[in-house]
Amino acid sequence: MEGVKKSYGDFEVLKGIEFSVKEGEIFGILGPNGVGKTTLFQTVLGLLRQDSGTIKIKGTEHTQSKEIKKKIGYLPSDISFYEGMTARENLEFFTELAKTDPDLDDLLELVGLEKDSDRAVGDFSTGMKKRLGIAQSMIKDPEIIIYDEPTTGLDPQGKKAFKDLVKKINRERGKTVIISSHITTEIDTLCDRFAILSDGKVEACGTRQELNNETDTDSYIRLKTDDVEASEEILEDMGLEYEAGKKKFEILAEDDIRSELFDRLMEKEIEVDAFEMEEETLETTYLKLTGGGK
Amino acid sequence: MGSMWDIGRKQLEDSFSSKKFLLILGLFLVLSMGSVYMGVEEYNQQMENFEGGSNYGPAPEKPSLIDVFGPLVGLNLPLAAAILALLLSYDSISREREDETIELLLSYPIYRDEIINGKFVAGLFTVATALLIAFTASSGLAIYLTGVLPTAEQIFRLVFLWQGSVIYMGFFFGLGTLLSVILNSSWRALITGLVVLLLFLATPFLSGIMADTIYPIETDNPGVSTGVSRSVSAGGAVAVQEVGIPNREENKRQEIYDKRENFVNQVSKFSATTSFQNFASTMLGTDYEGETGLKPTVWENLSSALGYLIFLLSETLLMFTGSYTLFMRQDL
Repeated sequence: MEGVKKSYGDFEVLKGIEFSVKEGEIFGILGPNGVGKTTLFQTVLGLLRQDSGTIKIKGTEHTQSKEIKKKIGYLPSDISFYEGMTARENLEFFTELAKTDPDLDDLLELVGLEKDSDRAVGDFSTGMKKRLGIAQSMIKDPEIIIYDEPTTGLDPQGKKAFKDLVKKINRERGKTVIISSHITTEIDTLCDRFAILSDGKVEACGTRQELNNETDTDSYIRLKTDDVEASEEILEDMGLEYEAGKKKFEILAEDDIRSELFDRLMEKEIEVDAFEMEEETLETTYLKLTGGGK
Repeated sequence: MGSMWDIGRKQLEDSFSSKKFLLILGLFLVLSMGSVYMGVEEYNQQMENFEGGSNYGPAPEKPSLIDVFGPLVGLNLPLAAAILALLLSYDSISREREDETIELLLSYPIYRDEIINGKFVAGLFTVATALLIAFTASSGLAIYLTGVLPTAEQIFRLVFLWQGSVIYMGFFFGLGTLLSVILNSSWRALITGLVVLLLFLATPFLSGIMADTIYPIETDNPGVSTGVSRSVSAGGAVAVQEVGIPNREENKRQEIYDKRENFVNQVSKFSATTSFQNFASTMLGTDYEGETGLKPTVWENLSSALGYLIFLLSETLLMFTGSYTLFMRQDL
């Protein structure tokens, strides 16, 4: 996307959006409510026409054509189906519109709705509708799938099930996935890269580590081991700042030193019980960039 | 064409599987057949009079089988058919918005116009089918009750009446769709549509009141007004006599009545219901004033009714064009 702008009357929602998504990755778009995430997706799909800027999908400029829509699967934030129709009938209807011939049994099985396929969607819970929405997004066998705030309204089990499903779709079916959310913790472990939207612009774009670097957000590595003395020797030898607890270390990592540190620990044959990066850094970065962390 | 057909087919399936639609269609059929039953009663009465002859005055005219459709096209169709058409269309677009299915629908390889065109075509097909069922059932009932088979001319008249009725229902289907596009709420669209229907039904009455106000008759004496007549005798004497001048005042009154009638006719043209009623009564051949006293042929009637039909068709096309244009310009 290059310089994409979109206004509603005098209100400018998108003020020159620029980012790119790599093929085969899971890309997260983070931003507070009302920042324009849905408008951005609707523009990509051609449901809205941008005022200026270009959108290219696999090098082809977006022209609101049917061809573009064939390449993109979409799950709107408030997914709604024809409630009087069954799950299968809904999928059949969208299959007719898509002019494709997907294996609906396979899709229903993928999302775990094979036993509920002949029930009216009006009787479905929010989680079941979301899962049906995921199956619907696969009908076109698209190259790209867009999920707009997909975890909204889901309980913790539903959120976990959704993440597992998206990973499966990305890895096993080779789909490029774009997900939006205003809650970092819901997609931070799922996405390879992120774009952070604020005030109608992309404030930052990249991997979690790149975002941390951009905002000077410190990362921490949590190390848990019984071999405290040997571990401390390595940390001091590497010149790292750390806080030591009982069999635990919290190590400040300005750069991604995970593999170097891990190799050194292995060389000394230190038994590692836990070794992980601080998980809250994306939240911190996000808050800094969107002005919520002041 | 493909996606338009998919949308249209879904619309048809929704309509014909909807309890609401089937209930209203059933009611419409019952009313249609009830209207024809009333028409048959009247027909039988006229037939008895005709067969009995008359001892005084002109001989009663032989009734025609087509006369039994008078109550159907004069009362039932203008009201019930319009309501049925509104019920089919008031939520055609707004429901997609209310249920938030429009965003998902448009994310598929489909153009916006395929959605609205699909709904139009399906709607017209539905109203045409509903009317065909009503006309066929009513005709069957009329034949069964009277034991008289229609002539070819009467069949032609019924076919033209059916076509005019489809256009009339098409107008209200278009109106419902337009309101569904403009208004955010389906219920507001339905209520607004019903208000428009009531206004159309009341147009001749309302325009009559307006005409009375615009063109009042000011004189208190409705009879003869007075004037002065002067005559000069051979001797030069002048005789002055007060006399009545009926013609001048009556002409003035007639002029006002003509203006009123013209005003009512012009205003009523904007009522699709009045246009349809005028078309229908002309096609039934019940409204005729011929110098020969002979009933006009179906083609003569069609020629007279064509103006109403064209006006009705124009109004229907206006509704569809308005709906299409607005829907195409709207954001989601």
